[in-house]
Amino acid sequence: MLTGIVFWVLAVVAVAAGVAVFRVDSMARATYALAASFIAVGLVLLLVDLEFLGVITVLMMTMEMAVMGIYMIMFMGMNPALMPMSMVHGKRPALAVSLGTFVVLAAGALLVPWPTRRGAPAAGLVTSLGEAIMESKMLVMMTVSPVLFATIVAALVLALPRGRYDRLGDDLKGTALRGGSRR
Amino acid sequence: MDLTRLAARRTAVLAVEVPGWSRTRCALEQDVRARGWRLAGSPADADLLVVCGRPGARLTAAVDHVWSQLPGPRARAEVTTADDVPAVLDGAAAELADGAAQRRDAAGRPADPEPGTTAAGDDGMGDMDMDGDSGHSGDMDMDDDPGDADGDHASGDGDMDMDDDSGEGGGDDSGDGDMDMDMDMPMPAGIGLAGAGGDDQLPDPDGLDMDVLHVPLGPVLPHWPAGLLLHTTLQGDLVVAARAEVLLPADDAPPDPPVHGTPAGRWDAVATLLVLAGWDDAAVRAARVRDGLLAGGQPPEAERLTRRITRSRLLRWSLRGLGRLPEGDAHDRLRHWLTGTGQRRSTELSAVAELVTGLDLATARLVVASLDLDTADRVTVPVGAGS
Amino acid sequence: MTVTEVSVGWVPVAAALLLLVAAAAASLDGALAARSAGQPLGGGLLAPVAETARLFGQRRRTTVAADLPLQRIGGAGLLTAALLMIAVVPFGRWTVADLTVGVVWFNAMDVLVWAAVWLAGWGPNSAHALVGGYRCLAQALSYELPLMFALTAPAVAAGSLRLGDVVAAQSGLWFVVWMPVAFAVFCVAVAGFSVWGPLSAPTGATTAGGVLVEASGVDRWLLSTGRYALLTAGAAFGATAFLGGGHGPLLPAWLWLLVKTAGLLAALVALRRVLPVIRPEQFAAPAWLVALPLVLLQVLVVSVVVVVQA
Repeated sequence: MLTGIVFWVLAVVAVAAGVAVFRVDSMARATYALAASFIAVGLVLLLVDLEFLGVITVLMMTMEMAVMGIYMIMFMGMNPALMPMSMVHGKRPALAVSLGTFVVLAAGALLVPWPTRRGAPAAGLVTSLGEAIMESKMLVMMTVSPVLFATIVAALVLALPRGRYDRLGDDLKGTALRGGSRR
Repeated sequence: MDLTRLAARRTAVLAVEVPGWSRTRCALEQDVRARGWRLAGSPADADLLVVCGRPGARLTAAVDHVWSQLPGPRARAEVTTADDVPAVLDGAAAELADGAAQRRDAAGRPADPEPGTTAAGDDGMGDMDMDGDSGHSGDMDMDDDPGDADGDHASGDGDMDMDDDSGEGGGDDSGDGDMDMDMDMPMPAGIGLAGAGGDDQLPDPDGLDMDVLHVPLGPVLPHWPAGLLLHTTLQGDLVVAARAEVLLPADDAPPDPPVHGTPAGRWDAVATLLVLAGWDDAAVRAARVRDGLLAGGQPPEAERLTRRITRSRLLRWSLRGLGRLPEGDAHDRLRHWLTGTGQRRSTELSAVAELVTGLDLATARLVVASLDLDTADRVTVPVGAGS
Repeated sequence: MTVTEVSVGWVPVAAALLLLVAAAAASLDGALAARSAGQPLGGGLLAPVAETARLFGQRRRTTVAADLPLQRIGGAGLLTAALLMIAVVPFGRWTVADLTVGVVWFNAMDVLVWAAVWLAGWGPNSAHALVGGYRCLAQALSYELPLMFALTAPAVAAGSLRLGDVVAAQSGLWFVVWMPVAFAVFCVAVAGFSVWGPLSAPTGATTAGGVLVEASGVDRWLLSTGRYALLTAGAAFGATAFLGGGHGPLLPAWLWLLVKTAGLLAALVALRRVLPVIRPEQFAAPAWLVALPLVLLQVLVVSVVVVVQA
């Protein structure tokens, strides 16, 4: 009973916050509406006893959205972030794609004959999750993580050809900048 | 009204020093400490606004603006000599405790905050030469922007011209953002917005075309040289251009005997720099040494405090390399103040602007504090003598 | 010693206890401040009460074109995160929520602080506050990763993410004894997410108060109280994960936890007296180049010990 109420509250919050992402007119609100939506989803996961996945979703998504706040200023200048703006671009194709996705997923959820549960959940869910991910696929994970990290760093390097430290020197004294303008 | 009495034990005082009245400000700080009160960090934090000295017209306007930002209950006072400080604070405290008067004051105030500065474009930021050696970017020619008495005031108020959201007018599809905004564009709350700078846009140190924001630092800003108004142009939090001026005291007002250049003045500079470096404990002790010196004593703890401050590695690490001048950096200057060595050297206002350019806002504050500017000294110099 | 989950009715008691200990920390800070100002300690000890009376009598103030909803969410966020943090900390034999992933939960709540502080800085629409909010994110990026690995060490040693198991695993030897690096990194990170002491740059004087610059009245009270509450919750978690939780002779388990929490909290409060603030832009290098490798080494040592013992 209580679980049911909590589930519905969280579900409504998740969807409403998701809708809000596109309805609000400020990037800060959109970012944190998205974070709220993800947090609600993470808490729903707690309800089905996926504690680790639920909490890690909350952790990752909050952190991600907070960091996105940095990027949104960094790469878009201040204007789009600081003044009212529409969060929707290319409305028609976006609408078509999202409706199509929703229909496919909903149809799948309703029409696929889901198997009934066999056996009981493992006692140590975190342990079994770790084994499922890490045991046979350890090599893959070990390879993927440095590649992913290198990709992020490389993307940043490409996006920022000359950082503040290139121009100003390690101590950010700015002699390079001012020297340049004097010439 | 026990609660009011309890609240009064932690009264926060926003001290405004007019150039020339550092001794009064020191006395104020000492008395505030002796009462168990504390100094406020911003108008929002303050219960009392105490002006030390007689401000000139522009400084008065700035103080008035800051006064409108005190949340209330609030009280305001002016003190011009160190001896008057206790009486003035007693009076202000009584006013603060007067419930009926406070209610009248609250009823008479506008419900909504008023937009303040239009920092953008009020100060002739046309002189964008970054080398700042042209002489006119640092002197005190007041005719540069006549009639903007309402313009410049403390930072730390709510009306910096950043705006994020008005809850209305979300229709404009300005996703590509930085081309079509203009500083003159009317903005939702009637305040100027950080804009893609157009003419103001300077090569950004990060290679990111951050928008340009004009933020005046001072003249009412705690731990800041008296009356100094630093017009900064920010891109992100980096100061890409700055112009300094000093707002003058009222004419023919006799200022205090100078503190600058005395041992007490050096400890005052130490205390200011330490507050900004975030070391409250050492800062308070330095202020106590200063007050001891002003009272004519020879505080015994000075030596131990000197050792403690010079030994701090963390402090050395954060001040090392900041505000580098021919005779050393911020930490060197701090050591000179502490040991009393090194002759005093007055820093030109134009040099201030140049030193803070290229730094972020917080580091710029540290650099300015490390210069120990004597803004009172400048008032006695005839205007225009430097240029 | 087994940990039992108490009913939801005890939540207000836990919250009150958190606020009480946080108030004690504020008193201690007030007393230390009074001592360095050369004032009688009594006034300092009363500081949190007097400050509360002052702020509750002060008007709330709004700024032009402020984003009020976000500002309010950010302001309330610190205290909320602290309350959610202590929910998983076992108080002797009792705990409010006996999560199997308590350590991760604590970590997730400390990340909520990133969002809260940034929102509190963003909301008022003021340059200094915004800079303060960004400074918080900048230093959070520095301390968070070392903190995550520091939290891994006790979890690996206990073989569980449940805090009750972490405490039980310390019946013989406190983790701090053989995980000093992880403990040190954890303490620095507590100062970080409480915006305290050497890591208080987001509220520093260089930005005129940073995220606090526009806050008055109840808003300021929530932010300041939230900082003390976070410091307290961090100390309680540190006492649990590194200082043996309720283990100790003679006294009951809950009293031991209280004593250890108080000790760690006092040390954290005193940190502010001893150290100046670290500039966030300088903090990244030592955090990533020194602390992170050291704490990884610490986790390696712990893992090897665990494997060898098994």
